[in-house]
Amino acid sequence: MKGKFTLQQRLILPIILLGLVTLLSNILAVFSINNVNGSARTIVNEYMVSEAQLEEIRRSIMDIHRLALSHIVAADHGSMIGLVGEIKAEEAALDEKLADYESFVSEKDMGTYRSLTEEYEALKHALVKLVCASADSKTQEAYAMANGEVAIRGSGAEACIDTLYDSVSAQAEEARNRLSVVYVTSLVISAVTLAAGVLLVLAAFRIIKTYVIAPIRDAMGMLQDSSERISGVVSEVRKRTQTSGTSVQALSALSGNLSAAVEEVAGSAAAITSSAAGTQNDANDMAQECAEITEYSVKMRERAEEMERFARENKETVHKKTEEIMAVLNEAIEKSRSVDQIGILTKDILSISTSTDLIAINASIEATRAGEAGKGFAVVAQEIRRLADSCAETANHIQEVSGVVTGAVGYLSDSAQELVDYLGKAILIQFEQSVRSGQQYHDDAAYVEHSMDAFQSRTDRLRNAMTEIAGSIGSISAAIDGAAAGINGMAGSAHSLVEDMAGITARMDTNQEIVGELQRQMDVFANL
Amino acid sequence: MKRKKRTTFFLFLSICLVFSLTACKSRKKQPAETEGAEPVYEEDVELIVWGAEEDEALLQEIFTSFRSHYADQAEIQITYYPQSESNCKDVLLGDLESGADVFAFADDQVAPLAAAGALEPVEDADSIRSGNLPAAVEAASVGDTLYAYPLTADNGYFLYYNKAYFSEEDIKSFERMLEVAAEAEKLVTMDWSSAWYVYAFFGNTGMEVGLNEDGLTNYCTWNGTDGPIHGTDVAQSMLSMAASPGFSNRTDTDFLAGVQDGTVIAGVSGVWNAVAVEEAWGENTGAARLPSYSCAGQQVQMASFSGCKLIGVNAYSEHYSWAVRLAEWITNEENQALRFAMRGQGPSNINAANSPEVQDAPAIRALLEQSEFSQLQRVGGKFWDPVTAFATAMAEGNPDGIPLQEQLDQLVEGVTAR
Repeated sequence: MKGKFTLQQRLILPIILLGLVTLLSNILAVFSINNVNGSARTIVNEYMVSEAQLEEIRRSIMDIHRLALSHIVAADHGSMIGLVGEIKAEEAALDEKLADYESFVSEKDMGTYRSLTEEYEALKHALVKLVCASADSKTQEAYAMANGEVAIRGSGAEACIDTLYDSVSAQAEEARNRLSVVYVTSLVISAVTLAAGVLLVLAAFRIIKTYVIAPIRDAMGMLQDSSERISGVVSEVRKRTQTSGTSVQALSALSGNLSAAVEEVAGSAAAITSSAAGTQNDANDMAQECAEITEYSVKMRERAEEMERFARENKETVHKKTEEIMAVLNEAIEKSRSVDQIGILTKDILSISTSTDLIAINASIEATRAGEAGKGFAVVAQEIRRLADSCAETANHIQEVSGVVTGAVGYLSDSAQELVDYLGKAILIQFEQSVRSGQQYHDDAAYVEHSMDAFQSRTDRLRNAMTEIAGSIGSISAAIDGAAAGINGMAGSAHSLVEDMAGITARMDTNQEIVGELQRQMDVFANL
Repeated sequence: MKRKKRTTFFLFLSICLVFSLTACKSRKKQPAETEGAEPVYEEDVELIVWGAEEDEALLQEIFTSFRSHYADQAEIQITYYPQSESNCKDVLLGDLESGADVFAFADDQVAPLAAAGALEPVEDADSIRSGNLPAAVEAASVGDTLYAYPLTADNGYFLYYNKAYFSEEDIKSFERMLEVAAEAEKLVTMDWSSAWYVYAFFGNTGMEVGLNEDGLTNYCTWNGTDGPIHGTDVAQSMLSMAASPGFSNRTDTDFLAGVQDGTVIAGVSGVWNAVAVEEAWGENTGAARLPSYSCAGQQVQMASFSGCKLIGVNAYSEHYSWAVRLAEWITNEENQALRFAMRGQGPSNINAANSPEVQDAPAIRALLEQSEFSQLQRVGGKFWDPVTAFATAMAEGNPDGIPLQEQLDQLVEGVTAR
């Protein structure tokens, strides 16, 4: 046998045998349960329900009977109406119960069932008569009916129910007996299967001991030796790994420091780059501002030229206009001299007026002398005298006005002369100064423009130099960054190496534990 | 495999076909006229109807119209049996399950009939309530539940008289009427064999009778000796009337016979005899409220019971739904109008009662006059026999000589018995 079966087969064989026994046992148990269930269901669903329904029917009949008796003793029509309604409802329910019960009636009991329905129908008729007599106040008649027909039919129905109940009980008893037989049979089968199972377990135990445990013990001895050797190797590896781990940790720390230093240099280079970029931007800004100032100085020079030209033109215009005004003014002053003629003329008029007045006085004297004839002449003389006085007065006024006008003309002439003098001296001087100032502005603007051109060319050179410096610093910074990244990578690698060394140590620990566990398991097998 | 599928499919189809044919067969059969054959109905309806003997012609006409109306739904056979409305309950409760499917009865029977389970609550109660006079609806109800269909609202009594013999003044006093009848060698009648009419003498005397709250037993003080009128006073007045040659104690049927043969010139009856009386007396027909009678030295107005006639449906009817339809048909507006036209009975249907013909009828007017002195008939079953025994003795002149008080005490004892 030892040569025919493998270890696997030896292990599986008793399991298969036990499984078969279990399967057989379960099949027999299911069969037994099915039998028990079938018998129990018959008892419960048919006989017990049948008995319960018969009890229901019996109780309904009793209730109807009781309600009918209550109807007799009811003291008023309202109660009777309620009771008769209950009786009818109970009868309707009982009709249904009896109809339902027919399905439970065996062929053997069908005759009894028919008798029950007949008795019940007769009971219903008797109850109708009872209730009618009761409602019609024929109490004695109602009681007679209750004690007679109703009681007889009720008893008849009860007897039928009892017969049916006994029959059903007998059938239920038979079913219970069948159930007991099935139960005993099931017990026997279970006992047999249990015994077979025990025998099989014993056989399996023997098979396992002989063909499984003994070979395992042999194998365990070899395994134990191997395990001890593995344990030694693992301890050695752990020791070396721990030493390497310490070195790698130191290397990792050194590379970390180097990385930090390089990162610091990279930071400084970045700051210089940033400053150079700022200076370059300032140079650019400066060149741009120089260009703007140069452009502005050109415009300033143009405006100075414009101002000089404008001042020169104004000076010439004012000079020309002053001469024209002076000519016109002198001519007007000359013409105003004719006002002096008014004085002469007024003197002449005053002289004539005086003469006229004298003549008028004489004429009036002469007229007075002439008497009545001279009266008319005296009036004329009077008028002439009045005219002469009026002329004298007017001439005097003219003379006064002429004096004022003459004074005004003289004043005007003097003022005009002063104005001409002012124009000829002050204004022209101002314009000449403006011309000179414009010339000076022009010269200044030309100087500033020239200076700014020179400054801008220098600024451009500065900007180019700053661009070159920024490029150089950027290259240096990129190189430092590359170096820093390299150093960081080296530090990361060192760190990973540290972690790997720790992992290896942990795995070696696990190996050590596994070896220990393996040792313990082998001890267990060795004790078989 | 394919052949098997096809066989299964045809089997399924066959089952469906069988089911569909079975369904067709179970449908309610409609009347189908084949050539030369009578219509065939699913349902043959046979109904038994109880009604007043005088109503037979009217009821037959109503049955004819009912059959015609439902001719397309069922073959209806209606069998009529005469049955007094006043004792319908007694006969019906004697054998309820064999009794009529539809029956007419007086409203005082509705409570015991409902209590016996002979009447079920009316299903379409709201339309009945809205279509009929409130008093009639109340008379057909127990509590708030309607149990019957109102048929008339005239179940009372009053005085019929022949104007050829009586003046308007004569009919105010019962004694005067007896004198006139005696002189003419004719008769004035009243049915003392029915306690229903005998109530007329006690109703306005201050003595009382009625139903206790239990709905079954009565209270009665007709043997009273405390009030202005004692029970013996009434008994004495009845003896005096009975002694008059102009008085005849006879049933309603005999009254009508006397009217028709000319021997009776006045009597106490109801609207159910209006047509017959008018046929006999023609234009001399007079109808008025009941007269007064002399009692304890004073004139006492005669009282009356009032009530309604109802149609009931037997709860145990084999064709209950058809019986309900017939009851609704008998009591509908058209047939109540027909009832008035043929029998002079006052409708309970509001529309029919408000018609000019009804409002102008002398018998209805007389009933309205009497209604002032009438009381809804609500007495228990123990009322009738003792009163009938007493009144019969009075009508016969107290042949046994039993003291009147003793007789009245017996009456009260019988009426109030449980």
